[in-house]
Parts: sequence; C-alpha cells; structure tokens
Amino acid sequence: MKAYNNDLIAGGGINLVDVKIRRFHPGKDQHPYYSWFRVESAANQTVLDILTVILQEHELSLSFRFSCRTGLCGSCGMIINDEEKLACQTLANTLGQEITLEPLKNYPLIKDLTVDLTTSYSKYKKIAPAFAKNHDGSISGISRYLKHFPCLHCGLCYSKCKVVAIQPSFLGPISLHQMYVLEDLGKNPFSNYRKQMATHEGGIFDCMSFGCCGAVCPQSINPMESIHHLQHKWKK
Amino acid sequence: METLKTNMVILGGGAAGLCAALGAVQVSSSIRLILVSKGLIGKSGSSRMVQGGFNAALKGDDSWKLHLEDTLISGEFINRQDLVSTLAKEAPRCIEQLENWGCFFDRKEGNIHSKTFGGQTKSRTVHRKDFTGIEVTSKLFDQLLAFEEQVLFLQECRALQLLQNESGAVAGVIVFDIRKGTLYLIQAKVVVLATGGAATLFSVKAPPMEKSGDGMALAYRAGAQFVDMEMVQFHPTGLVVPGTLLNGSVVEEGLRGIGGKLLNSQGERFMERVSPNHKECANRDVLTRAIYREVKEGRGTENGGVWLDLRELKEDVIKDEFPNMWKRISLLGKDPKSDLLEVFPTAHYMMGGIRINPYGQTSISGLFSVGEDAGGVHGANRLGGNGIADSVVFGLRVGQNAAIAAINESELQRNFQLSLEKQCNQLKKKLQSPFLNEKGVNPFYLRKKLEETMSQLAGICRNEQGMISALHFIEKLKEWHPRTYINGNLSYNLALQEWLNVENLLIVASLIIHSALLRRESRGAHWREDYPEKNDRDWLSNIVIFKERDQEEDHQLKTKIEPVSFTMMSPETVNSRKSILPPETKLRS
Repeated sequence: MKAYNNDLIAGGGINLVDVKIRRFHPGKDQHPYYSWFRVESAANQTVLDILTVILQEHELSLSFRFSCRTGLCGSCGMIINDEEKLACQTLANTLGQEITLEPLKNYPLIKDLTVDLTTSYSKYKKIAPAFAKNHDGSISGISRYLKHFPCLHCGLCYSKCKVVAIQPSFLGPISLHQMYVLEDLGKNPFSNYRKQMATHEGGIFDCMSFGCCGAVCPQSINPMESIHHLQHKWKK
Repeated sequence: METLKTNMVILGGGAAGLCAALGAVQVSSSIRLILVSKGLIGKSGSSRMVQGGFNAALKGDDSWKLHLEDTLISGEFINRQDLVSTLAKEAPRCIEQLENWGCFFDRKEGNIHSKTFGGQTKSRTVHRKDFTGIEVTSKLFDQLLAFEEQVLFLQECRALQLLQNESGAVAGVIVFDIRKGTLYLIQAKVVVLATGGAATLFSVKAPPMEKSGDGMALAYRAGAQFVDMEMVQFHPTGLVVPGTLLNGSVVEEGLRGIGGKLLNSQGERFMERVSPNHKECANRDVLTRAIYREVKEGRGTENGGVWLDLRELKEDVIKDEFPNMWKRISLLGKDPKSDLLEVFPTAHYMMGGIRINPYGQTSISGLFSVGEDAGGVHGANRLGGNGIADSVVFGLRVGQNAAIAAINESELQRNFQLSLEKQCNQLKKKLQSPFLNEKGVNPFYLRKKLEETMSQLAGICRNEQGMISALHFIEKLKEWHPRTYINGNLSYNLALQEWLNVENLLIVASLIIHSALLRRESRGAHWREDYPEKNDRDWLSNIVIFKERDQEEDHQLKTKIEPVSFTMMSPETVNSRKSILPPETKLRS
C-alpha cells in the first residue's frame, strides 16, 4: 500500500503521477526505504522538474544532483523505471502513471539518489587519460575524433555495465572508450603503457559484449564498439 | 574539522578554475594547490554549458586589434582596456594551448573553422559544434588529473569564509563539505576566486542554479572593490517553456548567425526595423531591448515571448552543426522545419564583478579573481564567444601569477584577525541555525521572491523608483533569511545549500542595484527608462563600489565614479576611422 509523503492525494486529475523514490542515507538510516509522492505533471516537464517540485514543496531533505538542466553536464543520471537515464532529458509524460526513481548502480551511495560519481575516476586515471604534448594528433585522427560526440561522464554506462557489477577490477566503459579515442588519434607516448593496461586483467578482454553501455548513452556513444576496436588492435 | 595547509586555493571548478590550476602547476613542480568546487569539477557551472565557442583572431584577415575594437564597441567603451587587449592578444595562443591539451575544434579544409557571432566584424568564434564547453572543460580536467601529486580536489565543497590576517590580507578559507556536512580549514598563501557570477538572480535565467555569486559575496565581505555591477547581460534568445527548468535555457546564437529570424506575433521580422544592417546578428543588448519592446508593446506571444523562425534553415545543417540544439528542440516535441520556437531574453552573464588588474589581483592582498567573478573585461555588453575566452586566457594567466605570488610569500600567515577556532565555531552555529527553527520560510520560496523582485524591478528595464522598492524588499528578505526553516541534517542537504546561496545572492543583488541607481543613463545591458539616452559626456566612467573591511552594514557602501582610461582606443578614434560597424550599433538609445 502506498503511503504518500505529501497531501496531494485528492484530485484524481489526469495529470497526476505517482513518484516512488528510493531513500537511504548511509550511516544515518538503518535500511533503504521508498517515499511516495503524488504530484501534478504538466506537458514538457521532465523527471528533473518533478524532482525539483518534490524537493521544494514536499520533501526538503531529499537528495539528488543536477547542474545544467539541459543534458550537457551529465550530473542528473539515475535509474528511472529500471533504466539508466538523465533526469533532465526524460519527459515525465512518457513514463506512465507511476515513476520509480533509484540511484545509479556500481557507485557508492552518498544519499538518496546521489552517488559518488568520482569513484570511477580512480579507474579513469589509470589509463593516462590526458592527451600528451608529444602525441602526433594527425589530421586524420582529429577528423575521426571530431565525429565522436563527447562523453559526458554521466556514469550511465558504468551503472549499466554487468561486468563492473561482478568484477570490480574491470576498468569499465568510460575509461576504455577514452583509451580508444586517444589511441585512435595517432601515435602517442602512452601506447605501450595503455596496451599493457588494456590487455591485463580488468581490461578489454574482460568485456562480455552485452552492449548495455551503448544502449543507455545519452550521447549515442557505443563503448562496446570502442572496446572491440581495441581488442582487434591488441589481439592476444 | 580538518585543517589543511597549502600554497594556493582555487575556488571554482569551471574553465577559469581549471585553467588557473593548470597555469599554477606550470610555474613550478613545487606548487601545491587545492581546487575547491561546489559541484563536480568541470561538470558544474557555466563553462560546461558553452555552446557557441571561443573568440580568437586566427584568420589572416583578422587581428587582435579588430578583436579589441569589436569588444570595446560592444562594451560601449567602459571596458578596462588593458584587460581587453590582454584577452585579444592571448586568445589565439590559448587556442593552440588547448589543442595541445587535446581540445579539438571543428575544421574546414584542415583549418580551424569559426562561426559568425553578433557584433563581430569577422567570424572568429572557434567551436566544436555546439558543445564547445564540454570539449574544453573535460579536456582541461583530463590534463589536471596528471598532476595528482600537486593538486588536491575537493569536489562538492563550498567556501564559506575567507581567512584574513591582521592587516586584511587573505590567508586561507573555511570550506564546507557538502557531502559530509563538515568543515575544512585551509591555510594558504593565496586564494583565487573563480566561482562565476550570479545571473541566476532572475526568474528567467540560463546559468545553472548553483551559481550564486559565492566568490563575489566572499570578496565583498572581505572588503574587495567591485566594478560596474549594474551590467547584467540578458541573452536575447532564452527558450520559453513555462513550468520547466528548460525555461530560459539558451537557443544558440549561431542559429541566428546562419539565418534564424525573429518574428513578433504579427509575423513581422522586427529586427529589420530595429537594426536594418545587422538584423538578428546585432549585439545582444540591442536584440534584448528589441524583443522586450515587442512584448511590452503588445506584439508578443501568449507566453510573453517572440518567435524564432528556423524554418528556412536546412535540417541537415541544424542536425549536424547544432546537435544539442536539435536534441533540445526535439525533446519539446518541436520540428524546426514546421514549428516556431518561443523565445525571450534570459539572464545570462555578469559583466561587472570584482575589480582586478591584468594579473588578476584584487584590491585585497593575497586575493585573486578570474572569469565571471571578475569585472572589467566586457564593459556594458559581452560579445558571444568572449566568455570562455576570458576564463581560459585569464585563468591561465592569473593561475601563473597567483602561483608566483605564493612562491614569493615565504610563510603561511598565522596572525589572523579573529581566532580560527572562533571563526569555525561561529560558522558551525550558523549552519545549524535554520534547523533549529520549527517552522518558517522555505529557502526555495525566498529565492523565488528574490528572483521575482529582481526581474520586475531591476532586470532588463529599470527605473529609480522600482530599484528603490527592490532594495527595500531585499532588506526584508535579509530579515527573513535567519528565520528560514530546513529539516534533515547537514550532509547533502539541498535546502541548506539553497539557504547559503540565497544569502550570497542577496549581497550581489544589492550591489547590482546600488550600482544601477548611480548610473543615470542607458548603456549596453543597463537600460533605464528614466534615463533612456546614452550619455558619453558624464558616463564614460566605471562605477566602483565596496564596503570597508570590518564594516557590517551595506547601506554604508562606498562608491567611486572613475573616468575610463582610453589607453588603446577611444570612441572618437573609432568614429574618426569610420569603423566597419554601421552606426546603429554605436548610436542607440
């Protein structure tokens, strides 16, 4: 039975949606629980709009992260009705009468819908992600690079990755995609290091090609494809 | 509470802060710094949202002098000229530097491509489609990750108070960890403010909500001087989508550059009447006033906007060159080939800010400022593409200068004005205070009221009476602020963050209005209906505003009106050279 956390229960208009939010504050709460809210949803409103209404009008202690609100920063990733999505890019009226919101998986939880996205940076740093000065950056490499949409580091693919879930050492889609982008740009001083990193345990050969990563990317990047390119390049 | 000691602290994780950090680590491998970002580094703030691009005179027929001239004409000659010449001269070198760091910009036949932006005599806006900001901020962060030994990242932490020694010099900062709800006391030789502006003060706005003039408020409390705070830029084409957070988000200027037209509700392309030579490519202030007038005079849409017509543009061009805009338009269920977009000016950028010299030094020893925190580069109206250029050019430069200052400062200051323990205890007590109120005003409600007041009385169009009323209401809001009610606890509490944001926004709002009341003319973004004409005779001047150190009340603000120093170019020299720009950009009401 739904126990609503706000008093907008009456009304029954067609624009009312039920929002179920997973709540948990590690160190403070003993167990995770769900809060239910019934809110009005207008046309063009996104999940982020609805969350903002809940925060400002009904539940001041609710936590979630957002910044740009226009799909550019990748801060508002969460699981919306079982699928990794950006809240600011998901229209509420496409989700039916009930919306379930949960935090991204494979990241440590900070509070409610907020996870510590920076944890994947420890893996990201391992692949030497910076473009090096003595990298040749050939024109053909650059023109291929310019066709890619940039990764937002929103973490949706990392949350969806089934390998990360069972094998914590797996470098993961964000890092391996960046490795491919840098290698595709041309000769560079970190190639040997990256090859070693990529062909070790936790590298490209641990990808199981589920393809979940590309399916949730808001930028239409397919990290699995990038990993396949690297597998081809650095065959065992 | 944790105590940290370092050479320098940079507050802000946007392009200005990241560049300041990269500038600093280039100076010496012995430099140690802490980068404090209120959001996730490179992912929060406005730099990430830059769609348009980066102005740099790269082409053979362009030059830094033309870039300077365009910037001064657009800024209506109240820009600080030494800052503008630094921007124009160093921008091309910064593009090269950015490419060396892996930020690649769109190319045509091998050369870097540039877009046409409003108010510029040459197409000099370098870009990566319409996501230039993502390209720049993510690559800057990638570079910085390689300096792990020198740079400590404190993400989702916000500065609450600058530490000052007995002579007023800045010697560190107290930082609040948003996630944990605890304080860091950081002693440092220099502090760089790069937290951005506060254009979020208005109901319709483009920047992310968390930008709340934090650096400006810190500097104000410490006694720093501010320049031309009345100059708040409204981007002419903010999307009108009532009831959503997309309301006010920017429709890229480049779409007007390639033929997007503005129509009023009668279907008239009114920019042909207002600015026949430039039409939709006129300066942002010209377009903003024109759109405001159309709506005010009853020729607006039902939601109080005008139409942006993209129907004559090629679908492939929009999809390919403006993919994010295409995505945003599609999200709203619109088809640019058949539907018109509703737009209205949206608060976008603060041209005024903390007064700096070309080395980024403020009027307070040990305190530097860069990016939108700092004022003086853009004068009365910023050119599109000069914002991220400002952050990168001055970021690198100020970071280097601050690092050199930190090296030259032999020891950390220890003689503080107030004991550190006392300062921390005061802050802890303050942070707890809204939780003790059993009921009261909601901080989000407080912000809404502030935004409404600023939009109605001190926004695009202003007059003395309205602004005085706005000041009175701001005083009321300051009285309400301590009575705000918050529940939950200190860690990751968005309402507490908003409460702190509002406190800072109230300071910036007050500075904007005090400054706007003083400037009795209309110039650039500052449009007064009681003084509708530009008055070069009396107002080719900068307004400097500040409070004395240790002075509590802001109604005792000190002000100075200082004539502009025309070290590079004056309005007369430009006019006598029959500048390429036609008259209406210079002679407008």
